[in-house]
Amino acid sequence: MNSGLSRHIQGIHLASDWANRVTEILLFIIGLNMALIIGAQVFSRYVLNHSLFWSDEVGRICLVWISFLGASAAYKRHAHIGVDFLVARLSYHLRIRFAVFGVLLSLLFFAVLVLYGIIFALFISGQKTAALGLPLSLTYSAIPLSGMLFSLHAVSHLCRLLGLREGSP
Amino acid sequence: MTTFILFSTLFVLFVINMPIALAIGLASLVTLLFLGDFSLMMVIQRLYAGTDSFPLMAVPLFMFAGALMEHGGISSRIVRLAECLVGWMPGGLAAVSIVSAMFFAGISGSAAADTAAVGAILIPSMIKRGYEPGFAGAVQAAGGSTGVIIPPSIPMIIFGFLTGASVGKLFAAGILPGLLIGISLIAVSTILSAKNKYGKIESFSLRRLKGSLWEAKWALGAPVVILGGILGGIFTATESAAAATLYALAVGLMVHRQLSLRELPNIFVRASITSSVILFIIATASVFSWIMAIEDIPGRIAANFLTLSDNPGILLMLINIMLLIAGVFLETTAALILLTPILVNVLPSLGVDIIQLGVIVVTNLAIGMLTPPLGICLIVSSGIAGCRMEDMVHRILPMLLILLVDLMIITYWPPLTLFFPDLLNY
Amino acid sequence: KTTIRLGLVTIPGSAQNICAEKFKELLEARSDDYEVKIHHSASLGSETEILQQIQMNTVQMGIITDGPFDVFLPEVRVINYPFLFGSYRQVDEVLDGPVGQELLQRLEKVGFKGLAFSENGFRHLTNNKRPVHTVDDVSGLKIRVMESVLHKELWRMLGANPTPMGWPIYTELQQGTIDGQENPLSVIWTYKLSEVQKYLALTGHVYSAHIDVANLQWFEGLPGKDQDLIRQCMIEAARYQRAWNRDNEAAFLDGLKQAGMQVDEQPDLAAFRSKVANIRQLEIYQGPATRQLLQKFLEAAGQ
Ligand code: NA
Ligand code: NA
Repeated sequence: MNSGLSRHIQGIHLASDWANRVTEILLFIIGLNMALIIGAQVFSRYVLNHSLFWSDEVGRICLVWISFLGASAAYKRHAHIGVDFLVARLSYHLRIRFAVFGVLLSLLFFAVLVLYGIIFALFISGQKTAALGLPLSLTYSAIPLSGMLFSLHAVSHLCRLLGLREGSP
Repeated sequence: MTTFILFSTLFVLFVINMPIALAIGLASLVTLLFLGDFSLMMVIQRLYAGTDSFPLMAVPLFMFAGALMEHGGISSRIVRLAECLVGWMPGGLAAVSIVSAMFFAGISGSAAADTAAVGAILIPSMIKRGYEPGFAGAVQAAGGSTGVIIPPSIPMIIFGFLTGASVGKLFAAGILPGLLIGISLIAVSTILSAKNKYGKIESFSLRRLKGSLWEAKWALGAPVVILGGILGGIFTATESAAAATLYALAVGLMVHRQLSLRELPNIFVRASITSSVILFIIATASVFSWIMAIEDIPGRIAANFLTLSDNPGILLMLINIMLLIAGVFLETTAALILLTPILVNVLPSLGVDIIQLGVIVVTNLAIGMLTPPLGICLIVSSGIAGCRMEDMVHRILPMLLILLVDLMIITYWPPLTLFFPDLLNY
Repeated sequence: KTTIRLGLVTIPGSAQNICAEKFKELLEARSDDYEVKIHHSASLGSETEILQQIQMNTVQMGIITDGPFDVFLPEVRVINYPFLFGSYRQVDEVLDGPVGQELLQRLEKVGFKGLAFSENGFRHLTNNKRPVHTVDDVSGLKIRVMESVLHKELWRMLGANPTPMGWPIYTELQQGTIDGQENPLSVIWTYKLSEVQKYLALTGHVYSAHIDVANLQWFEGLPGKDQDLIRQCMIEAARYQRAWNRDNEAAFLDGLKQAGMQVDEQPDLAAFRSKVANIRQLEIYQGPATRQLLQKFLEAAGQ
C-alpha cells in the first residue's frame, strides 16, 4: 500500500473516532435531560399543579435523537446484534468476504438515510411540532445526520476489513 | 409475491450475519423498490414514527436506572441480602444467583442487564467454589430471564406500544408468573446442586438477614418507587422510569456514595447504546410493519392460521410453539414486532385477555433468550463464565424444561396473570 | 380495477369508519372500475403521517380529524373555534355553505382535494372530581387535552390545568393521573369512559369535524365523470355519517347515564363563553388568511 493512500485511510479512521466521541457526549447530555424533563413533568403536575405543555414533546424528540445517534455509536462499537452461528463456521477468508459484503449492503441503506432523509426534511419544511412549534425538518434531521455518521463508520470498518484481507488470520 | 420477497430477503440477510436492525431495514428497502408504488421517503417517515413515542421513552430510562443502580452499589447489596436469605440451602450460591436476579429484575427492565449485573458478581464466585462454569453460567442466564417477566419489563413496554394495552396492567400481570418462574428455577438448581454436591455457603441467621435487609433498603426502594408509583396512580410507566433513574442517581451519589460524577457520562453513554440497539430495531421494523400493513400480510397470515383449528386451547398451543421457534432464532424486539400484529388479529378467537396474551408472549421470548443461536442471556453469561454457548446447552436443558411447564401454567391458568390487575381494579 | 387506498386511525365502529365503509359501499356499487381498500386502526401511522402519505400519493384518500390539518393549512383551525356553532343545523348550514366550500378549496394549496366534511361532533367535558355546572367548577381540574395550542389555551383560560397526553387514556383516568378529559359522546361511549369518569357536562365547547380528502394530483388525473362520482359518493357518505352520529347521540347519552354517569345537560355556557372571549387575540388566530376566514365563519354562524 502506498503511503498516500494509507494516510487517507488514517484520516477516515480519525474522523470516525472523532465524530463518535462528539456523538457520545451528545448521548450523555440528551439522555440526562430526558430523565430530568420527565421528572420535572411529574413534579410540576403534582407539586405545582401546573402541567408542562412541552415536556412530552421534548422528551419524544430526545428519544428519537438517542435512538439514531445511539444506533450509530452502537454500529461504531459493533454492538448491534446479529446471528453469527452460520458465518462462524466458515473459513477466515470467506468470513471477511461476507463481512465486506455486509458493510457494502449497509452503505446502501445508509445512503437512503442520508439522501431521502434530506428529501423528506425538505418535503415537510413548513410543518411544525404541535406544542412548541419547532420545525419538523429540524427534528427529522436526526435521520440524515445519523446516516452520515453510519456511513463514516462503515467506510472505516471497510478499510479495516480490506486491510485484514491482505493479512492472514 | 411481496410476502415472499420481504421474508426471503430478511432470511438471507440474517444468515449472512447482518445486524438484525439493518437486515430488517434492507429487506424493507428491497421490497419497497420491488413494489415501486411508494416513495422511499416512506422509509424516513416510518423510521421516525417508530421511535417518536412517549411509552418507548421508558426503554432508555429503565436502562439508565439499571446501570446507575449497578454502579451505585445496589447489586452487591442485593447479592448480600440474597446470600442471607437462601445461602443456607444446598447449592446455596446457585439459589443466591437466582434470587439476586429476581430482586434486580424489579429494578431493570432487561434480562441481559439483569444477567450481566448479577452474573458479574456471582458467576466468578460460583466457579471459585467449585461449580462447573457451564452450570454457573446456565443458572445465571435462567435467573436473568426473569428480568423481563418481573416488572419493569422492556418487552412488555414494547408489547403495550404495539397493541395499545396498558403497560401498567402488563407490569402488574408479570408479578406472579415472575415469582412462579423464579421459585421453580430455584427448585431445579437446588436438585442439580445436591446431585453435584455443591454445598451451602453459610447457615441461616436471622440477625444477619435483618442486617443485610437494612443495608439493602435503598436498593429495595427502587421497585417500590417503580411499582408503587404506577399502581398508586402517581405516574405513568414512562414517568416511573424517569423517577427510578433520578432515584438511582440520588442513591448512588448521595446515599451509597459509590457513584462519582466523573463516571456518569460513561454510564449514560453505555446505557444509551444498549437501548439504541433495541430502538433501532423498532425503527427499522416499523418500516417493515408498514409494508406488511399496506399489503395486509398479518391479516392474511392470521386468516390462514385460524383455519388450523377453532379450539382456543389448541390455537394457544400453536401460538406458543410459533413463539418458541421465533425465540430460538430471533432477537426479542424483532420477534415482538414481527409477530404481534398477527397475534392481535387472532386474539378474538383465543378467548384470553390481551394482558394475559402479553405475558404469554413475553414468557415465550424469555425462554428464547436461553437458547442458541441467539439467546441474549446465554451470550452474556457465557461471556462472563468464559465458556462456549454450545457447551452450556446440556446444562441449560433442565431449566428450559421447567420453564416450559411454567409456560403451560401461565397459558392455561388465567388467574395467575390476571390476579393482580383484577385486584387493583385496573 | 384501480385500488384506492383510504387511511384512518380509528377502530371499526368509530365515526370515521362509518363514513369510510359507506363510501366504499357506494363507490363499489356504482362503478366496476374501483376497489376501495380501507386501512384503519392507525395501521399506516398517525393522522399527520397519513396526510403526508396522501401528499406522497402512497395513500390516495383519508378521513382525518380537522386538528392535524392545522400543520398543513393553519386556517383549518377556524372550525374548532370555541363556541362557534350553536347547533348541528348551524354546522350544516356553514360547512355545506359557501364558507365551508371555500375552506375545502383552500386545501388545494397544500395538495389535498377536499371532498366533504363528516364529523366527530361537539366535544363535552367529563371528570371524576365534581359536577361541572358553572365555569368556576372547572377550576384546577387536570384535564387531558390533545397536543394542540388551541385546546391548551382554551382550558387554561377556563381555569383548568390542561395536560397534553396521547390516546388512549383509560388507565390514566382510572388511576387519577388526570381528573378529566373532553371528547364527543360517541368517543366517550365507544371507549367506555363511563367506567372511569363520574361526571359529564354537555359543554359542547368545540365542534370537531373530519375532512374527507384525496390527493389532488391523483384526483385531477382521473376522468371527469369518475371525479364527479367519487366526490358524490363521499358527499353522500359524509351526510350518512353525520345523520348516524346525531341519531345515535341520544342513545349514547342514555347509555352513559345508565352506566352511572351524572350528567349536566344544561351547564351555564354564558359564563364559559365570556371567559374565552379573548381567544381570538391568540397568536394562532393572527395569520391574515386565518383571520379573514374566521371572520367569514363567525358571520356565517351569526356571531
Ligand atoms: Na424487570
Ligand atoms: Na434464542
